[in-house]
Amino acid sequence: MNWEEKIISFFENELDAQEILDLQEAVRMNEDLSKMMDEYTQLYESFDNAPQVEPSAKLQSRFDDVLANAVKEKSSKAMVFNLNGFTKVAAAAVLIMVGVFVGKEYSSRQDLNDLNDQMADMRYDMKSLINDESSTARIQAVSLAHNTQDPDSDMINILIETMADDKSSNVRLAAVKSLEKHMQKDFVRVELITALNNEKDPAVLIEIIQQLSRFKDKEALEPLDKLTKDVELYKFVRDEAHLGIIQITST
Amino acid sequence: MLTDEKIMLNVARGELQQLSVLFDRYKGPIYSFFYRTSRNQMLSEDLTQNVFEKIIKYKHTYKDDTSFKAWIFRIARNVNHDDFRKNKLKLNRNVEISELNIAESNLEATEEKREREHLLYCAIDRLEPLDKETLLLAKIEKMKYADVAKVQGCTESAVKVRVFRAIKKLKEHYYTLDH
Repeated sequence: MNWEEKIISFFENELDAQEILDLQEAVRMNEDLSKMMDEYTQLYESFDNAPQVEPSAKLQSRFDDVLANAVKEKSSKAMVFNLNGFTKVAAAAVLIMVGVFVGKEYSSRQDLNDLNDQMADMRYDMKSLINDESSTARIQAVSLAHNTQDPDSDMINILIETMADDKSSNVRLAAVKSLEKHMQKDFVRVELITALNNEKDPAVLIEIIQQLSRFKDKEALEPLDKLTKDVELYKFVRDEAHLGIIQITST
Repeated sequence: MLTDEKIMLNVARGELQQLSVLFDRYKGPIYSFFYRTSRNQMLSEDLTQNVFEKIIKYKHTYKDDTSFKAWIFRIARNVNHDDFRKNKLKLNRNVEISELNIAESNLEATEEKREREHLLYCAIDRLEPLDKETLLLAKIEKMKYADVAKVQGCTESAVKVRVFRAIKKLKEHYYTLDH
């Protein structure tokens, strides 16, 4: 290894203590090496001082569109599958329920140890993030609640308010999905049923319908019936509402 | 705070909304990678969006033992290569660094510092494409050599060799341009 390589190795933290001492001595005794050392120092400093470059705000809105379309497409595909026949609907419903159950169990076990220690931090983070201007931050807040083992009523209420009021459909959808863990609570189901009457976004609406249907909440029958007759809704949303009624009333 | 890997696993399981969090964390580094390669803002934004579209499309291929950072930069590298092949663009474009794209926090940099930054990127532009990519990932994006190796599909030792070679050449270019 020549001296130049030793200098690079020094900056790459590849030299042991004795080699560093040898290099320092050589640099002290040799003017050319000293100059070379200065030049590499400046070069490595320039890496650390490299300016941040930032994309324009357009990139964020383009990404939001792409994500919204992907979410809607996912919902539509699920719908097409469901419409292929009652048997498939039943099978799909069972698969979804088993999947959700297994997913929940797996997720719960995996998260338990980590989350107990981080619970306090998560509550704090959630309350800070949910008021952020950025929809990304608000989704992150919802994710925190979603991954919390036993969220308190404050956190659940924040999820409900987010589902009802957030201006971004992606955030509302994330909140609805997170609320599924709390469907056994009456007040959560009441809020979901209220949202059935107010929500306009198809992807969010379908998620609410599916959750209430899976839970077979008979209180949802009347608003679901109203949805089946709402001609301003997409047909696949009306069909989903109709399937929800079948699912809730089946034994 | 949830790790990138955990969030990506949720995305792979169908929780698409959580991709927003990863977009927020990685839009800057990925855009920066493209921008420092091409010096073209519009192209870099298009390619950054392309990366996230590919993540949506190929989310199911993400494995839980994979570093997300290495995975996304590998996608970015492939997107960059595809663009290069499609458009037959030269990676070394002689375009000045756009002042508009420097983050606001850097606007107060001294003139001398700006000149140094300009010099650095002109010198990086003179490197061979593979050396340039290695330096951008390892030194500007501060990726671990193990992750750079995953991105480039080589061993960590090979990355170290490339870094040494690239830095020697970079110093030559840097001080040639300086005089």
